[in-house]
Amino acid sequence: MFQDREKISGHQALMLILAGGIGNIFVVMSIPAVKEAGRNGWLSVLLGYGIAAVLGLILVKLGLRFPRKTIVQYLPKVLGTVPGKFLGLFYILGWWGMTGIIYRENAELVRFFLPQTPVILISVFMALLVVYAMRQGFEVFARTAELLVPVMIIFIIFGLVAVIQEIDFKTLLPVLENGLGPVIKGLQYQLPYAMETVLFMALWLPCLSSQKNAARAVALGVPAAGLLLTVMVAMTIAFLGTELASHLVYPIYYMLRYALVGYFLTGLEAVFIILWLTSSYLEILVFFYPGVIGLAQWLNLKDYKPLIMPMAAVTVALSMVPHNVVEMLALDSLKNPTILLPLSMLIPVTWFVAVLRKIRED
Amino acid sequence: MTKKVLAVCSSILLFLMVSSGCWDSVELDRRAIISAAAIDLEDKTGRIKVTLHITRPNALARGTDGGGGQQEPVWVVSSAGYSLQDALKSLTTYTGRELFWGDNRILILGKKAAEKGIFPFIDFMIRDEGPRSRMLLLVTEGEAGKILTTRTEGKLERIVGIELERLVRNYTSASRSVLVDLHDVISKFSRGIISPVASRIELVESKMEGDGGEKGSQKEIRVDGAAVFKGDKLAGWLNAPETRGYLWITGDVGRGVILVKPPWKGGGTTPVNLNIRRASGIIKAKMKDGKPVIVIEVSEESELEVLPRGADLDRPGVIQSLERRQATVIKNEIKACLRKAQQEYKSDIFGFGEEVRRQFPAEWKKIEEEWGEIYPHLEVAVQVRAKIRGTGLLVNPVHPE
Repeated sequence: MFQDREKISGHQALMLILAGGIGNIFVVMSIPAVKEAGRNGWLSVLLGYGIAAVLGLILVKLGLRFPRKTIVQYLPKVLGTVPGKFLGLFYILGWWGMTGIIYRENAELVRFFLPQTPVILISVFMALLVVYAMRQGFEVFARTAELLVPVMIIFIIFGLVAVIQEIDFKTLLPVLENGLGPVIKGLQYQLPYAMETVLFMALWLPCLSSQKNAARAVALGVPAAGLLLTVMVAMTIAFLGTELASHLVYPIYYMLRYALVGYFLTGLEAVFIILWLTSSYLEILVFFYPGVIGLAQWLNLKDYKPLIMPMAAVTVALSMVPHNVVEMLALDSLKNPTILLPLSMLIPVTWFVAVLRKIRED
Repeated sequence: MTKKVLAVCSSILLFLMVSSGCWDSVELDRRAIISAAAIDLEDKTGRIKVTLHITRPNALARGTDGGGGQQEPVWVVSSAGYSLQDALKSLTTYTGRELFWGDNRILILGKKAAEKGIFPFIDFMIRDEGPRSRMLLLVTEGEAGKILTTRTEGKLERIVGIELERLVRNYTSASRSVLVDLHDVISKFSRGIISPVASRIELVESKMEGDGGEKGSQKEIRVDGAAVFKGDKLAGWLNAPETRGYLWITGDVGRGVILVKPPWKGGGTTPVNLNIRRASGIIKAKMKDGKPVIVIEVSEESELEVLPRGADLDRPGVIQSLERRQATVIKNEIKACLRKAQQEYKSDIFGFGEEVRRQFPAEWKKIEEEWGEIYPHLEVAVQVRAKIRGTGLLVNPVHPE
């Protein structure tokens, strides 16, 4: 099976967590944050990643009970065959559907620069890369993450530093003028964004060569991603004001376009496109892996590789479902409370049941 | 072996196909690079008239020695339509090239267009992927297109757009105008309670006499003062001292000269010149009997530059008296600006409302609805701390008796 053949190191685990935690979320996350919590949207992000870190540690505890099994395999053992299998299917189909949205997000932004080019062509090219990387195996993906994630983080920090002189942080005040209510309401979008990486980890946790490293990777990776994104969302709100921050399709793109480095260097959006394609590649694989491998394990197949091509074709086709960018953004927001939030709640529930019933792998 | 060659060849072919930009490749010689744009509202028809400066790269490349540089470096085109997009689209029918907005530096709006509301133009500039929000916004009292179509003299740059951008970006050297780009405007719309301002640009005619006694006149472009918006509609103008009043409040004064009357006898009509070195302004909100009160704290440091006859700085109290006069000048400029903005235009360009919300969020919710009525009668206290720090290399002036 998948987890017996492919092994990753502790450092690669950290990079995978960051890849899922930052992913391409940084481009879209400030919109629902501002829509729900207004000027305090950044607090939702901070809180969301804080909770995700705790849930991630619970997942590691749960994973230690089944060191050789993925979540799809141990769910029937813990919750009983029928409900476990059913929830496993929900997990698989959820990721599967969401992969389509990520493909479309990637294509929509590229389409902004290539308005005449058919959207599906961009997705097909991306899918070719994804299929190629996936056929090489999980270790290869982990190594590309090891290579690309630091580049991505450096680019994001570079972009933020480039606009920091234009920002008046006073506009973030007053903090919490409407109480904690809106911030908690914003969590329904922000917690799922933060949980993407933890839920992905539920799949690759048994691949980790030394299980001790798992807790360290979560405790380091999730808060680091959270802090970076909190700073980013706070800067977005301070720079754009609440209305523009929630009405722009890609607030970060707008900020980088405005940035001026050293009074002569503009046009940092070129950096953004590199950043965007890199992060999209990582994010699509983060979403695609659980669907493919989960399905193979759910059906008790010996190998997952024959599933890659047909499922890639299906996800690209799914990416064409939204008619326009507005529907795409609505779907992206909708997936959070409907798919990712129940899945996030599944983790503490499963752990609780496992502890209660004293179930662990022999 | 053959397999390897085939793989390399096909990947090169694929790379060539992909890197050319697919359906959307636009070569440089198919682009019309815009360097300045002006938007007007036509009186009779109500149509939008747009005037553009398009750079001629060939004319620029030939150099200034006159060898082949008969061509003007910019090409002025204009067209009208029922919306900005409409006007631009009909432009492409005779420029024959795709308009490229990425290098546009300035956007000039005519008075009529600005009075009707600048929101649709700003919306286009932000929504379209071409224009950059770093583009400067200027408003003129007359027709904006005229500024781009009139041949002007006395420029250092060959492209008017770049010349104008330098002019406005250098505003801090005199503190007579404001520096506002599209992002400033749209982020103020986004923040809600605060209204934008913009630089004011005008065409001035100056008379000159030639060597042979023939008289002529030349036209110059000047950026002086500011336009005040209320929401997205032009409400009125600030002249240069009032604009500096605005800059004192927002803390954006760079350099500039303050003229005060000498406090000693025998100076004649020569004023004392004070050169501004640094300045800062803070807006604070307070609550007095349940009503918001604004306190503006300005502190400034300057250096003496020109002293009239009879000056004796060694005498105690002279510097202090100059400082007091300096503070009065600053205060008057601020008050003049406040009067215009509060009573005449009723436009909150300083962000007073934002400051109240920031410091008294609970009270703000009660008065938010009536802010439009409260603002013109808002009590504003101005506190100015003006200091004279230096006198240059001389203390007292040296003049023949």
